[in-house]
Amino acid sequence: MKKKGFKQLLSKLLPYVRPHKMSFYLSVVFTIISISVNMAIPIFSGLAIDCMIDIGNVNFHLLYEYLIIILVLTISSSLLSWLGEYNMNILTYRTSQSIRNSIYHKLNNVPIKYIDNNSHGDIMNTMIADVENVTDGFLSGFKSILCGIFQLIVVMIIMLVLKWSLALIVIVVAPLSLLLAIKITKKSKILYRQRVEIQGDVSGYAEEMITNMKIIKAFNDEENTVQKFNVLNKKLYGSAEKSSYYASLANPASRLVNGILYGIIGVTGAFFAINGLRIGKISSFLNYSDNFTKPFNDLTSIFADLNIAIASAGRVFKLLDEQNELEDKNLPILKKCNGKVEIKNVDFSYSSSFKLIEDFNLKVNKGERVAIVGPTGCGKSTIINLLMRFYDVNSGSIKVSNKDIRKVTRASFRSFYGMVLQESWLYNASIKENVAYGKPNASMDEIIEACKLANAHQFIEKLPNGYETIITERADNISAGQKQLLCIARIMLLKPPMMILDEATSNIDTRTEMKIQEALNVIMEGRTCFIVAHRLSTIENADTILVMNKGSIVEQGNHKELLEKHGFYYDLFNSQFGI
Amino acid sequence: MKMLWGYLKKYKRFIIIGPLFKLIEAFLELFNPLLVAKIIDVGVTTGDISFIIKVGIIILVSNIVGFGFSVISQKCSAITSVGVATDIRYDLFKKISTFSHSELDKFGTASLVNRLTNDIMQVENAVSIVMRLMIRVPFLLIGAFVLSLIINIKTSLIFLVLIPIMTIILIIYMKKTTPYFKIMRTKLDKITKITKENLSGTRVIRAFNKQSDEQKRFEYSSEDYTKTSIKVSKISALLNPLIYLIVDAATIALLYIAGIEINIGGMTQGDIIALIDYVAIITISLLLLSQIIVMLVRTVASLHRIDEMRKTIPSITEPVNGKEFKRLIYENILEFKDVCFNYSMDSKEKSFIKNLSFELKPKQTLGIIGGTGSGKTTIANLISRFYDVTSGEVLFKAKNVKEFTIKQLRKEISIVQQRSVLFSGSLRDNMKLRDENATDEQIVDALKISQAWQFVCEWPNKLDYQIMAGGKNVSGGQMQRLTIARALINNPDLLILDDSSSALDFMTDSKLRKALKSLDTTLVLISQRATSIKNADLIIVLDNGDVVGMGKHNDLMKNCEIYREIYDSQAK
Repeated sequence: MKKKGFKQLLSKLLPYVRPHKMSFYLSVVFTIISISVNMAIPIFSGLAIDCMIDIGNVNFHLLYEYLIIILVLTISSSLLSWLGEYNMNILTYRTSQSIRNSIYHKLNNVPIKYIDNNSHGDIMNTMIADVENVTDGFLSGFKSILCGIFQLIVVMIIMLVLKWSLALIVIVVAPLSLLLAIKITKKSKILYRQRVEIQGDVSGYAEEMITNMKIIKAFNDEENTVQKFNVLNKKLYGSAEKSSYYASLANPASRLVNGILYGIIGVTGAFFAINGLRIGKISSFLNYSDNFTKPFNDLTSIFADLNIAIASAGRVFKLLDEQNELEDKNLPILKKCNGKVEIKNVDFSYSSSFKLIEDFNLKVNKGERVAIVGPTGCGKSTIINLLMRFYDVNSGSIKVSNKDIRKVTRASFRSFYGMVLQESWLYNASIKENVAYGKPNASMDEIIEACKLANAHQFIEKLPNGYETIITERADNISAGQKQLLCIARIMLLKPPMMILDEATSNIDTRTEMKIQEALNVIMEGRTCFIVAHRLSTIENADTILVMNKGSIVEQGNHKELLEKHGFYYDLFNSQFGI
Repeated sequence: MKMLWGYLKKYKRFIIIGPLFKLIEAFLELFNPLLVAKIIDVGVTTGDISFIIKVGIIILVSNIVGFGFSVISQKCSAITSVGVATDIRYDLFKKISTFSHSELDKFGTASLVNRLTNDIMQVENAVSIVMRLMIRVPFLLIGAFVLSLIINIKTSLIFLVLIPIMTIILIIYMKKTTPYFKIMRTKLDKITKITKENLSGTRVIRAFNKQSDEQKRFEYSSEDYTKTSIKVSKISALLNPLIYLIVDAATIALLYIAGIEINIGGMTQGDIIALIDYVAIITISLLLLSQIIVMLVRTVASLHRIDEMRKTIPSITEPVNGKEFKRLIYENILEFKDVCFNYSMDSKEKSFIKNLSFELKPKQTLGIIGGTGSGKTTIANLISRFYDVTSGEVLFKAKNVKEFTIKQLRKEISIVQQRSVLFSGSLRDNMKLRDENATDEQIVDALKISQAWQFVCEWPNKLDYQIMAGGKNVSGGQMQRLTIARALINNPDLLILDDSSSALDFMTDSKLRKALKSLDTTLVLISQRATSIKNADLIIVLDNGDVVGMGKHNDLMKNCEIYREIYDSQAK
């Protein structure tokens, strides 16, 4: 089961590695040659030692020859190992890049539902950290294992050739360190997992309490909170101490095996030496036994990385395997729009267990205004989601310009809508670029004209860099109200026949709010408008009012009709405007 | 550093035993090569088999003994490092709980949590590594050098050259790569930023059909980051091969000198074998040392951050010899006398709140209105003494708030803060925050007043309903009503609602206000909505910290332009 999952992950990873496989081959080839060359060095250093037997008995000629060979070998081995490592890095970075580009592409093509329903923090974590874990763990891990096995074989062969009986001792004893390592790793992995879990509890508790420390203080609850924290903290100590101790045993354990091996080679080597084995060979052996145990010791950390990589890969591919929005490439393009919108028998809900909108019918002609009203959180954004086809209706249809919006491309019908939402979205670029977002080839004159219409020109001019001012991530160089003005300007540039608007609420200071309202009045002129409305005048002048509550449309009609009904709208209206 | 020492003291025994035992292990380890050299030089040349076996047993025993010492030492360092971290974590959390609002604001939640988790983790790792390696590594380094000196002075000169060369290479490497790593970091941040923008702006991007442009923008950044990374890796991949090259060069030099020395009888073959091993020990030690140093530098920064918190003195202090007041006689339950307030300590800076004075009688309602950042919350915080006034006086029940114990003050004044939330746990536990002994009856009463009982009734297990951290499983409007209910328990004398009904629809909001009015409580209502405070006995209109109007609704409509603007813009 576990193996199958692992294989599946690998097969999913492969397409992202394949374009860069050249780097992988190069890396492995360079590294393998480098290992082979490097493994030859102890032979020559052994031979060099054998050139110096005793006083007056040193073969300098041969010694220098060997030393030059060693020098050449080490230089070429280092160079090759660098090339191997460098190519490996190219592979991991390029693969990460491919995966990240795919993730980004995925994010632009999944249904909006996915983005609404998943934590943005998690998605970003997958984009950055998980991708890195995957490439590091799988690719570097794979290379290390490959090269480690190769090194084992090479060293084994050399040792067997040098002195097979001595070699057998090393081959039997060395894997002991592997066994020991595996045992320790297994135990410490369990302990570590426990530790991480408790640590999560501690951090979670601390975060919740610190975030709300002001509330805790208001309720005199500090002591109690500290007590609870203390209990968790003590629990963490018990687990962390054990886990830390076990993990730290791996190094001394492998040192123990190495030390014993060193002694065994020394002793048995000495016996052989009495019977004529050259001292240089013992030196080579000591060296090789080190090289033989090294891959075993490395295995511990490779397995740890690999485990992390598997968990990360699970998240990465879960995201990449998400279903895309329905394909619409082959659908016709909506070329013209007369501003008519017709909603017919629409049923919609976000989840099948909760019914929201049922049998919704609405006809809007060119230039008409629809006001959407209701208490906060009543689901006004649902209407926007449906009109823009961010979500698909469950049944019924929405037609724009007499065409069902599911039967034309999304891009084509959306381009006839201008959307100004309460949460103004601008991106990290200049004001000019942000205003020209929907029309990148707009001339400077057009942009200024749009900003003037949107009441934004004045404040832009006052900024030190004017239209070139960069909107920073937190956008703290301009106010929330000004941001909204820029969003209006962005729409002004396009002059679409239909509008979706969110009226400003009291979060903005009164003067900017008036400017926004002025600009909105200009933009609404002569266009079909859907307005999430807060103002009396907008509501009174609307051709149709949709009254929403708890996600569904409870009443529909114009102001006069609805008041006469003495229903929900009547209550809402009276409590809001106090008439 | 001094602070860390204070924590370490408690673990004195372990701190002495741990490194000491490590030292013993390292000492034994250093003798391995010498012993093997002895086997070869003495045993082999004389053919004394029993000598060889004897030395072999010594090697075996010394390794096992070394392992034993090492195991004890590892235990000591685990106890110490984890213990110190646990102690610091407790102290820091306790310290945070004493912080007043200004300290909490100064540090910020993210930074506090970060210090409590990551910085402490860093210290834990550092203590553990120092105990395990800081003694061992330099000892091995020096020991290997000294032993090689004993074997042969001339060959040990090689080490004198090797050590500085390695050090210089490591320093150059770090200097060269650090700025590059910084650049990489910023380029990776750019990728993060674009992703974040895409997620938050997905509707706008799709409305404008800009998916392919966004993809291009992302791929450009992604390529930029990848290119830089590959460039950097060209240098960073150089380190290991370079070090091995130097080690091998040192071995070559060693063999070269050894040839000359053996020729004149200065050393033996066994000595060479030992020396080759010492080269390896020295290189590994130097590499470890460089890693330790990098780690310690990072830890110093962490320690500074922790210490900064520990040294912070909470700005709100209890009165000296504070006692609980009983039966106070007063005419005004709340009074501001010429209050000025300034967030920064700098006295030269202009005050944020300037000369505010007003009086409020019991059971009256005070309304405070103004845009975001106009100072409404500041006034609430001055009343409940989350901040102290810069000058002037805040009087509660005719006594300066500073004379009350904080406990009594917060018991009699209940506040529902902006964006207040419930904690993870059952609804009942949450409701008992003001009074542990509150009965279900009291809780239900409070829920009824706050207009929450209706929806709580619909929940499967009512008061036992489990609230998730941050209240993720209740809606914004529900949360506001529940937090109001929580503040009502135990009948506070003064109730402050700081923008706590903004997520409620107007109907529920007005029902809530009516219910609150029926209580015996004095109310302070803070809102951005004119309708919410319209009927208050006294309304304060704020604009950027300035009081621009004070009075009743009708007067303000006549005299206060800003109030009229706010009212009109919301009503029409």
